[in-house]
Amino acid sequence: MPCAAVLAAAAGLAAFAARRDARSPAGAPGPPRLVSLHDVPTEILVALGAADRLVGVAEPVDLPEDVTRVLACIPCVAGAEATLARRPDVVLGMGVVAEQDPDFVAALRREGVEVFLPDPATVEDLLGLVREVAARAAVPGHGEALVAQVRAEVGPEGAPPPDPLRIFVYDCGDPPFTAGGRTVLTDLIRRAGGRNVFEDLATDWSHVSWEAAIARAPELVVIHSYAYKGQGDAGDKRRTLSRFPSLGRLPVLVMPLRLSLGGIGSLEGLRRLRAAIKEHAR
Amino acid sequence: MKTWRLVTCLVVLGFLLGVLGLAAGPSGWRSPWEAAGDLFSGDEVVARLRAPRVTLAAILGASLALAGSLMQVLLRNDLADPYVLGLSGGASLGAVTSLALWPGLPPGPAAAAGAAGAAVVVRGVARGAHDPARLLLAGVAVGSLLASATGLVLVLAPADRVLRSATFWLFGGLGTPLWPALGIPAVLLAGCVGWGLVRAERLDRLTLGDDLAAALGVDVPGLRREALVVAVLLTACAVAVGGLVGFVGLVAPHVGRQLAGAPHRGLIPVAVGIGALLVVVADTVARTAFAPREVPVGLLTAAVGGPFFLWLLQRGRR
Amino acid sequence: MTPVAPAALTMNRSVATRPVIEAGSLAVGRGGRAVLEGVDLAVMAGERLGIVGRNGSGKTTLLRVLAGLDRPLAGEVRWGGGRLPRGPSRPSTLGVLFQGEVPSHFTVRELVTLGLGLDGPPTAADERLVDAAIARFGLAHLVGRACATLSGGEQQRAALARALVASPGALLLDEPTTHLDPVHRAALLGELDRLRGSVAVVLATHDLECAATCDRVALLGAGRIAALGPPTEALVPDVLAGALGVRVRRIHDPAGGPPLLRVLGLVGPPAGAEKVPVA
Repeated sequence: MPCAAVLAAAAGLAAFAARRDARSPAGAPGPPRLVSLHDVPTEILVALGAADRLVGVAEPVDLPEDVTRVLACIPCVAGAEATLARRPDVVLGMGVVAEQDPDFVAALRREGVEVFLPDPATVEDLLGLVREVAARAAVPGHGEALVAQVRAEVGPEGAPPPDPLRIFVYDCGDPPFTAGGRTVLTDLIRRAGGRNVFEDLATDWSHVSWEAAIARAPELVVIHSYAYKGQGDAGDKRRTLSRFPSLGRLPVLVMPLRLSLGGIGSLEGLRRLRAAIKEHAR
Repeated sequence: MKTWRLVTCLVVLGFLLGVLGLAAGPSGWRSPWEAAGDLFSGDEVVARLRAPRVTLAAILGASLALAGSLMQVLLRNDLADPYVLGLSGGASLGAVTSLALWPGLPPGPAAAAGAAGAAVVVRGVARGAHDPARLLLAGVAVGSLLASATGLVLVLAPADRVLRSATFWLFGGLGTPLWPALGIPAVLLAGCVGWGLVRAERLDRLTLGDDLAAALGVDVPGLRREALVVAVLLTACAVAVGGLVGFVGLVAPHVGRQLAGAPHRGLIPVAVGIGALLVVVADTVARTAFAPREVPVGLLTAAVGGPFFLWLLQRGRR
Repeated sequence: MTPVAPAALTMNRSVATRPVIEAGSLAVGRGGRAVLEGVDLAVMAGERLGIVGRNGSGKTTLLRVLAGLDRPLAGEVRWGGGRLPRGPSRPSTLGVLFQGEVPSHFTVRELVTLGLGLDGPPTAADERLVDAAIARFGLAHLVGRACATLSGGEQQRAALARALVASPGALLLDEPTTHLDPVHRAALLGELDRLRGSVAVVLATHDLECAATCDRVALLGAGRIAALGPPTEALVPDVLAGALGVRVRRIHDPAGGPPLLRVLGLVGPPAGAEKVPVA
């Protein structure tokens, strides 16, 4: 990809600049310098009260206002050169960052920057992620406190109900893109007392066929809404579903993407799922 | 005579494979009789899911085959395919931009607009459609420019989901349309096949070269213009309903030539039929082989059609 | 400029006096720049006219304008007194044989059928014309073969059949003998001899031996027709030296036929001079 080549070249230039600029020497006192390239770690850092560790942040896609307010004075970064120019010790992101631009991540690693790109698949992974981020921000105590708070809110994982409500997650597209077994959303649905009809798929997110979705007889559809740039798209997605009578007549829960990507928003997602499952229980 | 026999064979084969497409699906196999009954009783799975999908696959394959045949004549190049004039780049940029901005909407219309826009730019850069070499070069240049713009959008796009949806679409993700949505592609295909049959002998002469065609009474600039418009319309429409499905548009015309000979009066119906069959079979595999997951049909057209094509090449070498 | 009508009258063979192609005050060139100007030419039915000149003298350009492929910069070309017809009646007016025709996927029969310029499937009468052309050029055993698999000579015969199947009044050939071995060259000239008296043949060539077989020769030089007349007048040392800048000796063949032309060298400054001056 030519743009990747451009980025790599830019990274090279930046590296040259950074070397002359000399990063803070290892072991030097002072708080760690963090750059976050994804909403999930950004939100966790804010929740940990460690936003002051952020020396750069990718433009927030969809975060609550109280979080974006805290980020207002942190410079936005995009691309290898801007990221390296912030002289970070650690760059935080999610797996999708490497998927989207592997050369960028490779360029950062070449410069000796630690790049942390987790892919949480369960609520337990999320707790681990909170601890990891807290450790990198040098606030482990805050991490444990936040973990305890999340645990309290999620509650213990009780025995599953004998016949949980069957839920189909419609993310987008035709054929539909849906959550497989290895997603925080599937775990949230289980903890809320439901069952993702595609939880047997040994993958995170995947395209499935409408026919398979209908054959699994879902009772509730969770529509993922992409709320960024003010474009609520749940309406379009409902229209797509209505092409198929046995899906179109089902009750719908609209979940903003933020609530099921595996970050702090998961707590709000769990609350909404619990309420919807309770409402539509047989 | 030979052509009629071939077309009859293709129609019968198409009917059988179509029924197979209705009978097979990720929720289980139904007997062909059962499937046919379900089609007319309005059963949701057969009548609303499988039947429009099989029809769409057939229209898509047929459109790509015809567009590919025309591009091969226009560019006087056996390696030309429907996307060669920067159309794939334009379609990708349109689709990816649409997915990034309006993820709830299908990317098809924007992709079709992108493809048509790329064709207009290429034609402008090449100063008309008369010089195959210049058209081809302009197509490659504009295409790579658009491809890098697509890559840039993919990298800069905000949503985690754009990447995967775009990848799926770029490899030819067929959706499941409502019946009325098939109207425009079907009418367009029928019109273009009709145009091709009316112009068949002129297209034959055009393959002999522009000068010879003109000496044999063909209005070369007019025919080139028409053929370019028809090929771009077909490709844009195919892109709108099925993303980028490779291999079909490149190979169906060659298979058609092997079976029916070079004259377009026989080549067009046979190539169109081959294209339709190929995509119907590939789509049936795409829906069922990895059920409940679905894979983009474009990944399978080469896998399904490649061995047949190789066998045909071997046989043709004598 | 040699007057056209007297030259036509001096032809040594009996031909009709009706011109098939007439060019009046023609200027031709590429990209708006004239290569040839003031071309007045009449090609009579059944005659063979050679257009001879150096590379770049405008032979091919003139031929393309005559064939209606390029527009003249000035003047006009009339075919049988009118414009060159469009559509299917064009191949029955003129046949062409160009350099570097790409062998196609078509079979010989399909190629010859294309020569009729039909806009639909051939009728029974069309099929008979095709059969006749195939028989005439000895292609009957090759009808089902793809053109791309034929030998060079077979390809040329197929192309001739394609060019003549619609019985045009004129045949235009661009450098027909350039890449041919002696056998194929003789065969081609033999085919052309069979057209004498029925089909007007215009051939652009720099092959003086081939030009000597023509009824008349138009010598191109210095951006105009430098000489126009029968080979006995146009292909003589003085004229050739003036138009082409070559020294030529005519050698009479005791066995008869047109005189042989041996090129001795360049006129004027010795070889290696920047530009060959034209007298």
